Amino acid sequence: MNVPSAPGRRLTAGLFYTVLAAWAFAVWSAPIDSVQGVIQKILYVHPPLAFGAYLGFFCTALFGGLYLWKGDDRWDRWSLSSAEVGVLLCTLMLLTGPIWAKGTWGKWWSWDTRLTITLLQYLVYLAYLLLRGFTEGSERTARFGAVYAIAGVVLIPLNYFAIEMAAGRAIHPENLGDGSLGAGMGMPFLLGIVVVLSAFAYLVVRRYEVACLRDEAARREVEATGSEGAWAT
Amino acid sequence: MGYMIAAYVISVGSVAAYASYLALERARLRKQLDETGSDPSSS
Repeated sequence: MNVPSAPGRRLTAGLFYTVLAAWAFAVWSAPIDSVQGVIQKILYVHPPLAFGAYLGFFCTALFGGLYLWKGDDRWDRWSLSSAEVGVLLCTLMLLTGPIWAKGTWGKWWSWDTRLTITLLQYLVYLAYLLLRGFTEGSERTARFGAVYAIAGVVLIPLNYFAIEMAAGRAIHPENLGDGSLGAGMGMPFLLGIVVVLSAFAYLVVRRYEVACLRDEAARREVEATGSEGAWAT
Repeated sequence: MGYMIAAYVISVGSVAAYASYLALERARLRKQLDETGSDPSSS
């Protein structure tokens, strides 16, 4: 198997570091919220992390579906890479959220609809990674993982519309809409989304490259020893 | 202020740590492949 050099690594890295610098300046110079104070600036990292996690889980399902359709191992590697980065971003969302909650609600956690579904979604994709990590790696595992990822993607719209479904019983703030942000808050928020999405692209490409190299190392080991099982993504 | 700084340090630091892990893992695998034969992507 030819180990491809991951496409776009330098481009995604350059974009990420450029936008990161602009974002840091925008967050620093953003106005202080008159109600919450400086802790409100967590807004510029927490929802963008949520969007990044959603994107990661969506890509896991999308690439998993392409793997089932085409049967090409590369789609399985993209799927696994997206899942790992998605879980990382979801972990950070689940860490920054309680920090913000402690500063504003006075408690770290609430079994609110949005928070509960987010935790469930996190555990679903964490289980996906455990499944992939604890099994030897085979076509059967990849196929099962793809079906599992596609089934799990239903939690994304469920999570997004959780507050509307809670019909006024949710403690988590509503999804942002037109006019939700005060003057001077739109740009740092937008840059936060671009930073997280470019970080997602950069990390997924790098993780994909590692997956290719691991598979190639496993393939060579099989050739050397004559044993079975050449997947190690 | 402390909560806000903690949220940013955890987020940026974790992404940087994961990117570093991937870079180290990539370097280790490339070295391993170089030792076991020619790596088509190293050129």
